[in-house]
Amino acid sequence: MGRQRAKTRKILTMSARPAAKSGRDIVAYFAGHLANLVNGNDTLDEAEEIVVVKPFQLFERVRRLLIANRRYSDGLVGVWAYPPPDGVEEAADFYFDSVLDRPIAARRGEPTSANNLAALVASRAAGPRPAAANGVPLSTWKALTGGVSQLRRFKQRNELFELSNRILKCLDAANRPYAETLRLGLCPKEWLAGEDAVGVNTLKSANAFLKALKAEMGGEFGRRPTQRELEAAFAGAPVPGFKEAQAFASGLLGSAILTRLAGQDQTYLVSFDAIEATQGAEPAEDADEPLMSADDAAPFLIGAVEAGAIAPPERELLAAIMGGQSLAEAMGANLFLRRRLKNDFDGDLAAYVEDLSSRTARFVAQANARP
Amino acid sequence: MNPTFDPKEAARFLRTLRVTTQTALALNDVERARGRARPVSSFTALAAKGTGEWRFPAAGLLSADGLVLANLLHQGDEETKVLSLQAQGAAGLATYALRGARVRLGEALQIEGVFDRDGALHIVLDKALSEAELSLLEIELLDPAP
Repeated sequence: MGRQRAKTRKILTMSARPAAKSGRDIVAYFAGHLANLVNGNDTLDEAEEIVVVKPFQLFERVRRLLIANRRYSDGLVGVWAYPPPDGVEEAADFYFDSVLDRPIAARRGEPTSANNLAALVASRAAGPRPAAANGVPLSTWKALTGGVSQLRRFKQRNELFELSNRILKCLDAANRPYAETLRLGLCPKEWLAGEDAVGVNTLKSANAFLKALKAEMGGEFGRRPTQRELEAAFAGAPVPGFKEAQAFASGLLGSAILTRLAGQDQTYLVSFDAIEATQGAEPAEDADEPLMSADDAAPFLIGAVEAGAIAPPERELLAAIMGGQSLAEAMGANLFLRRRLKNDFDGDLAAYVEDLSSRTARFVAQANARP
Repeated sequence: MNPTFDPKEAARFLRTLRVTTQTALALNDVERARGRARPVSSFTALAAKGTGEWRFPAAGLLSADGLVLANLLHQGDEETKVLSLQAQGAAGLATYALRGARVRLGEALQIEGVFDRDGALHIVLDKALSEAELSLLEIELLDPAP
């Protein structure tokens, strides 16, 4: 139904607001945020040992964050992709159902990332434990709230990091189809719901095709691509299930992508740029290893300093964060860091830390890519 | 010379960097929003900025944490305005009901009041204020959470 609606709609309104300032990795930030909320860090004093998990209250808090926080509503939920009459509330509800409460299926009978998260939560039980539901695929949400109601809080920072890590593993899987749909500039509610929902592999291939097509079009959007551009893009990035460019372009998904690109539909290029920047990165496949200690991470940080990717005081800042210090403690009174924060980032600590993290990650990825 | 790293260890490092920095940022934001003993909620003025002066949106202003909705009401003589603050949902009630708060409108005005059991607080603005001053709305909780 929704797909039919998308095909016939020609002119839609769009947000006139400027793109939200958003981070490099909104999914990891959201995982960290959820970990802090589950741990009661927004309401409890540091000394308190027990947190009571109240599912409905937590649901409301998360839902309201998704609605009211521009970073989430634009960068994660992608409210800009939802055509009227749907607004930010409907978008947040769909995000909750299709990502946070999406059951994560097991592969080869192994525990899923949601099972691993549920096991970590259960290990912190401070009261009676309900019997585990066997055979039912858990969602991220059910893993967090469907078990014990009283938890010993994750008080050590490495414990909180591990909770965040396991939530992130769930989200990396559950959020991927949603993020891929947004990267295409399409409304997730119209392409991910129902029996004919588009699979994640098709969405990934379509994104690769779109990227190749944009390169062929030389940044000239707001028009339909030529046959030559279509064929060249398809030759470089074919979409499985389609023999040739024309077949894909005339299918439902292909024509929706081209219509979006041509600006005859809800053209708003934030879909291609902001989402690419915030959650486009594909997580590493071998992400099941435990997190590193600050000591294990030291050679990477030293390498980044020696290559000039980061400054020595910035290495200390990252080492302190990875070692569990708060941002305020980690910044300390270091004059170099304070000056850089003020002069280059206008006092925006989050922007500075994200830039620093991004520079370091780029250095390690490039060092690794060299033969 | 640039080093090369074991790919598996590099992947671990990248994941650790991703998790730890973003969790630390989220914690920093959560703690800042909470403000420990003196939480301050700011409001996001999403609408009503046209070519003229800023106008209080008819649909109200939602606090940055989404837990309080502020509306501007006019009483009979149109001169007297009432700022109505209403906690939203169970999470809003749990945070604001029966708690004392200081409402700040920039430098122009500071008024203290108490949210009732239904999470409502009404502030009568008998001082002449421009609507632009209302865009600086902040709420500061005065007492720690029960």
